[in-house]
Amino acid sequence: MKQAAGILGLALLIGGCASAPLERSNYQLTGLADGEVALPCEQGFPDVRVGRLLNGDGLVLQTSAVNWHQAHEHKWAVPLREQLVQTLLQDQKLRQWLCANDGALVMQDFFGTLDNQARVAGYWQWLDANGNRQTRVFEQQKVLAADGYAALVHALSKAWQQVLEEQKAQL
Amino acid sequence: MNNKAKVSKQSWLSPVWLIPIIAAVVGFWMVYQSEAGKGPEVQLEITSAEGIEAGKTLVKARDVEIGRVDSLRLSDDFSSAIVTIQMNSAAEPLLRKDTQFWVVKPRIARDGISGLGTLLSGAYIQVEPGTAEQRETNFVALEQPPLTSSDTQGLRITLISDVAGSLGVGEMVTFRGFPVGQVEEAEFDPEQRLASYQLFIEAPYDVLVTENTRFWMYSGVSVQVGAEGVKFDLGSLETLLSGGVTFDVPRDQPRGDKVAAETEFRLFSEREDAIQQGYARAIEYVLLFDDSIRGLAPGAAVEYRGVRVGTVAAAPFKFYPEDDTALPLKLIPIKIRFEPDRLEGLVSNTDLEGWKDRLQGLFDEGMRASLKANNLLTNSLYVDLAFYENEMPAIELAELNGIPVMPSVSSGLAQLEQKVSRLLDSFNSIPMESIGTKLNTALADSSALFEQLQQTNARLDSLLANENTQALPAALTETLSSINKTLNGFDQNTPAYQQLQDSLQQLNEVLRDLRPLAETLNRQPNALIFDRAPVADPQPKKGN
Repeated sequence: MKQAAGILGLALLIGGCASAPLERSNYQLTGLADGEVALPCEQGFPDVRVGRLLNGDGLVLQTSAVNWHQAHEHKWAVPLREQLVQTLLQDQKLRQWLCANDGALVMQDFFGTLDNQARVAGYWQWLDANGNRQTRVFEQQKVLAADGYAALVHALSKAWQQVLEEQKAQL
Repeated sequence: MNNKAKVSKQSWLSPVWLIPIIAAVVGFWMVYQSEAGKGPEVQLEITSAEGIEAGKTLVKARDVEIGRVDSLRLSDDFSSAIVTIQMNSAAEPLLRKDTQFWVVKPRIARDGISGLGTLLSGAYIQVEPGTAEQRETNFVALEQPPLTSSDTQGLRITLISDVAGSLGVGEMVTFRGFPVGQVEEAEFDPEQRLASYQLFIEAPYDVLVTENTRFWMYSGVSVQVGAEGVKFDLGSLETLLSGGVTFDVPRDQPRGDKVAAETEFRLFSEREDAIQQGYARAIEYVLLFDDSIRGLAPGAAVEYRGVRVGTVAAAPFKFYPEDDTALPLKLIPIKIRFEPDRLEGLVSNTDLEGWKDRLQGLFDEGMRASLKANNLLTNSLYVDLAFYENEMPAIELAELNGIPVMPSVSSGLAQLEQKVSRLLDSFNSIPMESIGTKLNTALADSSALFEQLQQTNARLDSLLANENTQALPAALTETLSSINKTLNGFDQNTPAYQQLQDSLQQLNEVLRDLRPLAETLNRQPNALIFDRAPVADPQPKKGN
């Protein structure tokens, strides 16, 4: 019995050493002010939800009309949801609006598309003066400037900034 | 030559005499023949001998000549004509006690035109042979030809109605629209002021007339306006023109046995009346009410929990008392009929005697009659039987004119009136003055009480002003603040909370690091032992 366990342990050790080291790159959206603290609202952080596919920590790339690939070598350094929360809260105007109107963000698309664009789409929700819930849909696509995941992250950042600017313009 | 005439002796009888002899024989023969063919002579009394001629008018039975009018004369009191008829000898057996004679002449009646043939041939006398044992030669002629010949099988019944003229002789009797007989006689009895009609129901339809049969006038058109709307019923054209009488057994009722001939029935003017009031078997009761019976009419319903069990027969019931000691008009008597046949199907037995006992038992259990409003708009009333728990004292009188008295209570409205007036009476009897005095004393007492209260208040003030009492809230505040401190230990900014937060974050990171491993194992369960299959991520491409 002891012998068997020893052999198994050895086999695992050798097998583990035999595998190639995981090459992993971590990315972060541009426009996130480093060191600047994003303060939550009085009632807590605003409600930000991302789709099931975006909830993982790999970047997402559309590979066919019905296929999406979550990269395992190209990851978000910080979960996407937290990055989105931070970008929202570090802008004073957006932060004020979100906190005052119980605003929420639902991000449905945040990936590279088949036609080599970065797609950002989802909707905002908030309570108007009468207490009715309002919804506004957003959608942005930016062409990738180069090959590779870094270019995808840049394009996604640009698209996301565009969305934020549009929303601010609406307020 | 002997010129002497030869004289020969003449024979005794000349042949010439044969002629008168033969003639006499023939004559005798003829007389004999004539006398032998003659039947009995019949005396027929007739109101008017219009169209009848002596020696000419024939007497027929089923259009066969059976005699001839011999002579005509007035009766001794000149009230009628006496026709002497010479019957044929063959007609002798026809002459029975119930043989009927009438004059056939042109007639226009409700059931059609008859006797047109006599316009040319002249009137004749028709004979309807009888069947009785007794022989008879004196008859009274019928005014009208009988509608049904006496040998027709069927049933004769009598209808009684207090409205005369509603039916005429010859009118149809229908059963559900099918003609089954006709009215034979219509009479009005001035003594009883009732019309009676004799009906003949032909066989085989006579079995339709049973004990529970109701007869009513069939006008052909019936319009009923009720709570369920307007009901319009139109009969056939024949009945529409002629009217008539119809009969049936109400639904849910047993038919009863077939009736004997000459049974009397009541004739109702409408089907509804016939159904509701035609219950022959009933127990009569008198009700004594001290309420107003305005709105209660004969024919109104007697109901028990909404089921009709009887009919109001008279309201008020006039019983013609000899003295007023029994009932000095304080109570109004009404008469009702309790008709157990209406309960057919709801109870096992509708026997009258049994129901008398049963009702007595129900009265003992608290069943009472009362007047209830049928319809608030028309103010019509009906008699309601119901059980009352706190039963009112039953009225002493057990019988009125031999009819048992059913115990009754005042109607709801009258009861309400009584209650209200009782309430007002008790209000009146409240001793206001003494209450006022008592109230005054009570007020004086309460002002004393207030004084005491004020004193208590002052004492309370002094107690509150005490230093010890005032120190109490401060101590309380202190306790609360220490509780607060304890709770603050779990606040966001405290070290304990921060530590917890840090630990959670670290755990999160570990989990994130473990996720690729889990994913790899998911994809390739042997990845721990064998080399992981190199799966390169697809590369994003530069856009155009």
